[in-house]
Amino acid sequence: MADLTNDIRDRFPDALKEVVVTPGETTLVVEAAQAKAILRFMKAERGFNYLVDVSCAHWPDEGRIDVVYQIRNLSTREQVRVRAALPVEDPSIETVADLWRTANWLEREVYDLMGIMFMGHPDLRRIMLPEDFEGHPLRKEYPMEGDDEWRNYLPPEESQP
Amino acid sequence: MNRTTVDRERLGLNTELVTVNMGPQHPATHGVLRIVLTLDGEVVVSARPDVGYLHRGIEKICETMTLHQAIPYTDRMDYLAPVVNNLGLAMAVEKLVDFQITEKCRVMRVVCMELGRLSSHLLWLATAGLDIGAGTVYFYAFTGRERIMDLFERMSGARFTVSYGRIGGLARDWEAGIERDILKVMDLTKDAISEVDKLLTRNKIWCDRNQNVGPISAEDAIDLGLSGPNLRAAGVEWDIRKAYPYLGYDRYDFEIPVGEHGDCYDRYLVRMEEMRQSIRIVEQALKEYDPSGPLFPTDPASQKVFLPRKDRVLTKMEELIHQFIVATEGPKTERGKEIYFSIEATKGELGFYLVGSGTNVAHRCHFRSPCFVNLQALPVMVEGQMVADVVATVASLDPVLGEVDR
Repeated sequence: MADLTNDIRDRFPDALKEVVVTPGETTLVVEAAQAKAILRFMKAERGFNYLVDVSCAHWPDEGRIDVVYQIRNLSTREQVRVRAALPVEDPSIETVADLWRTANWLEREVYDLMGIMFMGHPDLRRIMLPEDFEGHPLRKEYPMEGDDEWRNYLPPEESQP
Repeated sequence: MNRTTVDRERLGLNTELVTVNMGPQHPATHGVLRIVLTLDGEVVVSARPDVGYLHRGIEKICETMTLHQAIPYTDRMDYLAPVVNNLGLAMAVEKLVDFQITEKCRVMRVVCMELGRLSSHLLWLATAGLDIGAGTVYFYAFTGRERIMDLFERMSGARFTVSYGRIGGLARDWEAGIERDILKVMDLTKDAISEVDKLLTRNKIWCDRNQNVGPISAEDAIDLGLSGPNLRAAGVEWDIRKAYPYLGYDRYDFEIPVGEHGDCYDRYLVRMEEMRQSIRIVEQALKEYDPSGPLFPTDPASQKVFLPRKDRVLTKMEELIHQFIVATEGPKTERGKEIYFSIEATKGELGFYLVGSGTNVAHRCHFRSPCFVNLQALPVMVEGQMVADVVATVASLDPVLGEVDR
């Protein structure tokens, strides 16, 4: 694992901000602008052929939204978490759906519930919530309960997926 | 893999594409799954699964309550094997807050996990058979599942949504002598599986209906992030229990069944073999079961972080107070500490991404649902196939919409 982080440091000198190693887990905190280049490098040259998960976390007091990728090399069983921080005002990052097709729905879910824009995503639409839903529920400021039922259903012909 | 190549132009057949909604109320979609099919005659040109009808915001809900309170919500994700979700969350939290469980609890969890797998696979077998017309299987499989449900009732008090996991342990001890009954049920389950095996595995109709239906290659399966029996049926030998052993799975002797063609028939064979391997694991685990050991750690330092013994809670003041404090406050998490913990659930890799908040509530509680990711592969499997094969393929993927939508 250490040679992996050294490799990334060599190739992307300013991109790697921090490496957190806890028992059984390695987290690479990277610059959002270079996250995709790093992920592409890890897939192409280090054999991380399996995207496990795309997730996110909102830190309103620090004004950032983290986007988190869990990637895995199925032959060596290495597993790495890559985390990039995005500004809350404009959370956008390049999609990885062209590297792993798994990312298509996983990124749609993150977009739907957290409102992160994935640039270049082939089909960035809401997946869990209706098309005309307002807001992104996993943001911390989104209330847990509303005052009323959600009512604005569209007629069926307008809600083709 | 296009099985139906009719030269329409030569035959002068001018067909137009028809868009058909399969679901969300279709009985064979195993829940509220809608698939928008574009059909050319009976051939599927494109299939777009539309999910979200059962979205309840479980992740958001779990981020507003203590980690103990989140456990019953996990029952409602994969509701065919709720105990697997409970224990998965409990183990993820234990990883987040560094708890060690006792040996007896470990053995009990292994048995519960595998019983959950058996009950889920038996239900899959029953419904997948029913979907494509093998109605007899339903009764054999459901009788087998019913016995396992009875065991869960005796362990936890509930048959279905058991909420049996607790952070650091389990809700309660097993009653005396249940291990003998579990072994008896395992023997009966073996019989049920072999009955179904005789009914289906070499059955001409079953083979025709499943072989070469919904195939997927190993490369596609990895690229699309399939996991569990669906990935193994495509020929990838991958099981979290072997790759990242948890609960001491590495000390048990079991095999990972792997398919060859990645079609519905291989997925059926893989699940059948998994059930037999689960029975092997249960039998090995029960040999290590020692009813006299403690369920929760008993050293003095653990008293204020783990739940106390239930019989003492009901008779002693001190334990009652501890129970109240532990259950209402729960373990404190460290702000910013993040963990990813995954288990081999019945449908595939169930992952938990938890981030600590500095309080007893998780800042972020994300569930990597195997069914959600598996369902994404449906278009790759069914495009170019017949519309009737969509039903067989959806059944063979074994999606549980409670877990897809969360």
